[in-house]
Amino acid sequence: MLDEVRGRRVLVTGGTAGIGLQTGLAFGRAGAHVTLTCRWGSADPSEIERAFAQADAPAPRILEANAASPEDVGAVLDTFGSDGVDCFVSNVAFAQLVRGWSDLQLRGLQQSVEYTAWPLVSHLLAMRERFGRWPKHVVAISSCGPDELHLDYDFAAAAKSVLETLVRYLAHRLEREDCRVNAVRARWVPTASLDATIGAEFAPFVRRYGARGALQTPEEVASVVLTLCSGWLDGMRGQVLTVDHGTRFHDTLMRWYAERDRLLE
Amino acid sequence: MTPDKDTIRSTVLKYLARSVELDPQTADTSKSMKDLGANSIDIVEVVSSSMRELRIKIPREELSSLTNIDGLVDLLHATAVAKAQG
Repeated sequence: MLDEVRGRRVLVTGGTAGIGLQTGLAFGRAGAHVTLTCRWGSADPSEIERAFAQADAPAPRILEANAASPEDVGAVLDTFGSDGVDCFVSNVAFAQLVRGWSDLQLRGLQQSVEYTAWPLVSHLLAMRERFGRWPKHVVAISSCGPDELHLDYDFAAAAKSVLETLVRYLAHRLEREDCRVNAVRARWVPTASLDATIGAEFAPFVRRYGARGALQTPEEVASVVLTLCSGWLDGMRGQVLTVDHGTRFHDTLMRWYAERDRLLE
Repeated sequence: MTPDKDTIRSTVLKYLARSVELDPQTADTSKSMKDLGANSIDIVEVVSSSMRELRIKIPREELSSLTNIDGLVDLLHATAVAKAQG
């Protein structure tokens, strides 16, 4: 099923932790050549290389680059030579949390969009310019923040909304090209990023009180990304797929009401 | 060559001045970057850019306990010295 992925050149931004790392590993297990980017000093390359070796995956390239810097994006793409990128996963996200009124500044919103949504476009434009072609598959990693309250997530949610909107419009612009752009959003994935955003107490709280499946694993999200790039879903363009075990529909006050005896014990 | 503290301070303030209005010559480094008007993205950008220019890497956990710019300069310097000593 994943034969199409074998030997392909994959770029994952924000690829050294959480969903990004698991996505890289999923591609690596399928025989792809994976390049992961991360911010300077934010990852231990030897640990990641070990994880790939244990997964029987080709060793990844790990590049320290600021996804919002055109110079860094260019330097990353230079390492692909003239071969180009076959699959691009725009996972990098970085937003100003809004802890109070003083954080609600336009500049923070602009920076959040610049670091979370714009790298999707800037990388694609740079790829076309360098390689003369688009990647065959592009997946942007979003979240449910635009539709469901995440505490202090105002700007992150707004940036994810921008990201999803760009996915739809890019898919339209690329409708005649051999390039499929889609987005995958998870609800809550227990990673360092979730801890840093909402708080380390949140994931245990969800495990105790949330619906079964309210937390998704990074591996589950990675599997969806990999499948989107497998060739089996090439009829899909401009879609935003939600990985939430269906919990956004039923993990509501109605479920609490239905299970009140157990929850109030 | 191991950068001295003045060089490190200048590097940090150079990047901070790209985010907030300040004079690197007179900035009060006993204050935090937040006190000087930086937001959380600015702070990560300043620290990351400074480390990159100085070729230094410091785990995020160590950085999270810092309370002012002087503390950051001291930590960067100590890390640079340790790196030079192998």
